[in-house]
Amino acid sequence: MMAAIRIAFLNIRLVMRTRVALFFTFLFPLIFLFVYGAVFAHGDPAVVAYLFGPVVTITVMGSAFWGLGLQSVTQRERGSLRRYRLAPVGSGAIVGSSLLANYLLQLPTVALLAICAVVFFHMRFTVGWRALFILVSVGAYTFAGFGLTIASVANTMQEAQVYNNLIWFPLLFLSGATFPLPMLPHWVQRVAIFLPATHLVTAFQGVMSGARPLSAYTPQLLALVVSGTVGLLFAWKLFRWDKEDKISTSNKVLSLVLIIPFLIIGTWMTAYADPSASWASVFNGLDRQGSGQSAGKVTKEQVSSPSGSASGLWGLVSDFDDSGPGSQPTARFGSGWIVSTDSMLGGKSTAEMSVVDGGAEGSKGALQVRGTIVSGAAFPWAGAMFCPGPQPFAPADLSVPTESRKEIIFWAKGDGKTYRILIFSQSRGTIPASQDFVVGDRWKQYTFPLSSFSGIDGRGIQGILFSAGPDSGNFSFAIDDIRFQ
Amino acid sequence: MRPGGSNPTVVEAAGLCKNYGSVQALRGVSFEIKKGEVFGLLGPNGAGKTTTIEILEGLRQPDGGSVRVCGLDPTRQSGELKQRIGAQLQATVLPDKIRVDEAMRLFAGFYRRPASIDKLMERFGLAEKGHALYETLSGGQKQRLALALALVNDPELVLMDEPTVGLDVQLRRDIYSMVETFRGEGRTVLLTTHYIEEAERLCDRVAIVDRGQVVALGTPRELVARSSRGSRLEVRVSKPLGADMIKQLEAVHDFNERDGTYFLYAQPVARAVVALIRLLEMESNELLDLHVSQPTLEDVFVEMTGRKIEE
Repeated sequence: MMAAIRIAFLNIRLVMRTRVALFFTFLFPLIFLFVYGAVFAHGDPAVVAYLFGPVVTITVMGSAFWGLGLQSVTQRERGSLRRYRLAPVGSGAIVGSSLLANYLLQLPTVALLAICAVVFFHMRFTVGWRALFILVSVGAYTFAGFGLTIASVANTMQEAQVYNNLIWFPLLFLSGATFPLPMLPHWVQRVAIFLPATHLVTAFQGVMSGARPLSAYTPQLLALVVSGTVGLLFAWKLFRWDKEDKISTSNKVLSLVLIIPFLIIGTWMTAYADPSASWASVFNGLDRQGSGQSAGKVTKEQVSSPSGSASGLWGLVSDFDDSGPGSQPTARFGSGWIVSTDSMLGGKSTAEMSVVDGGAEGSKGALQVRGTIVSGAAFPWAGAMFCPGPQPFAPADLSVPTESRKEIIFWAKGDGKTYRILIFSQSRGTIPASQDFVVGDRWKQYTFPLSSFSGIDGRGIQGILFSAGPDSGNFSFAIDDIRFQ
Repeated sequence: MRPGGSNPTVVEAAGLCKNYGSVQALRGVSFEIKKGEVFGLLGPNGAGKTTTIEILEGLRQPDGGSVRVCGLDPTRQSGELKQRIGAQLQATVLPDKIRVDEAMRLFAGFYRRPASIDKLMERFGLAEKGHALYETLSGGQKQRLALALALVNDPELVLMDEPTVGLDVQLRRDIYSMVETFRGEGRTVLLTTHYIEEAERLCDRVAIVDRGQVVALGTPRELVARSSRGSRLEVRVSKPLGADMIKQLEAVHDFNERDGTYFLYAQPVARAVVALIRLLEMESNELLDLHVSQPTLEDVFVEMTGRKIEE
């Protein structure tokens, strides 16, 4: 063990003397943090906290695959390991020293990321250093196992780079480390459940947002640790000192045993604990600030439903007659109404909603929605969204009576512009089905069969959005008596 | 202590065989090394020298035969063996950014009884380069560092694989004097080389290796004495000598002529010289130049293998 510790500290000193290594170890993660924070999060502390987990995950993955793993292959190709082999130093000491050095370099890197996120983006550091330490440790340990396994099975540097790319890019783009999981298609989310990086990203996001305690992610963290341990054992057993020593094809195939823990956990989660809803809940529950919008923020007044259960998910949604003018709207089921704008994707459109007097057909109240569409975002929008599930953006199955024509009906009036009704469902992922309607200055009833919304059958409904856009400019419309029949 | 002789055996290799796929690198290599002697494995590239030394170091397992080093099995008792031997690879590669003293202390830390680092660095002329990065060292300094690392555990047996390859003459001489110092300290040395002069100068005994086999083994003097070619006389005379006349010279068993110079192979050389002088006097032929050289290990190698060591 002393040999491993000596070599580990030597390796750390060598990194400190190499400018390229210093850049990729400390500065490169900071670049990610500032790009994510300034560009994707627009400096919003809540969004920065949400994206902090992906930044840390990319950091520990990158260090393991492109630092630790490739360095091991380079040492073997260069012949540096041969001198160690002449000394009473075993392969376990070499593997252990690589793991230890990588880990000891990750800790200050992540601490620096956290400090910069707090100082520059005012991120609220509610997770605590203990939970952060545990998550970073698990991540660094797991991906070190992956990186060293790749180093063991690759015969050359080029081969190692091919394996790295084959594994790195899916982990990067399908795990939530780049695109938030709730924004990805449903089938991608199904795949993401089986990826190791997904569990680290979502654990970070859940804990950083305060939505769930660290203990809630115990099975996932356990799977990560088990896989990391298998990887390290594999790397130790198949360790090679010389580039002339080639690895057999059967041993390369055997390395796939690393994915077994994730197959198990992914299968279990798919069958019994689908995380899609919790991912969406964390994402949409972000307490965003800075834009003056409460997009994604759910207040007690908004969540007012006589029944949040699936059995009441039909019929009248809202008639806005319960609340007085100027108040927030209520709904008969689901989690209620929220303002939804393109600010969650970096846009600048705005919207506000409130109950007003003078509903359709002489009813007491209606929901007034007004705001401004600002061009710039890929898909500018702003409006009011009804969420039929128990939490914003949680899926709900609308219980369609057999005699029903399956339609959504509502009244609307406004400024004469064209608006859209968009239905979000699990089956369509982040791309909603939509229909346009033009409002006049008088109340008019609109009826849309559910079948007119492509891919919508009433199951897995996450939200129904009444929205302006994409044309830029001010907008104002009112809706009333929204119902399913 | 006189090297070899009745001294205990430090290395025993018997019938070593090693295959790399269909290539037979070693085909029954056998030799012993006594305590305190400098033993050489001399042969061309690809003869099996490095494979042999790697088996002794425990880096490779033989496919046949047996080997004991310092009374230990290099395969099964590798950890204990490495505590007692020092080795210098044909090409030692260290990280570019490691400092000289850092490398010395790192490797010294792996052993139960390390030598004094400061004394070693002083001895190998590295004291002033203690804080220098490895990448800034010259080729000679890197070689000296590799040698110093081989002694960091004060070993009883030092294994050196082609220690002077690629070095200039001065550095080569420096290495030679270091090896002679090892001998003076009572260490046992095994070195592999393809330089004849190096084997002749340094080694108490030499095993000539070719194509995975030991073709000759003995002290350099013994090996040379076995050469059937004998000494060589280079002769230049004022008038051409007839082939019949040369063939009849006493003690001369072979000859050839090139560009007016006659090369006579004779044993014993003194009789051949006397016979040559008598012949020249009888023929009124003036002796212009005479040069006598002893056979070398290369001559022995050529006789044994039919080709030169560089081929």
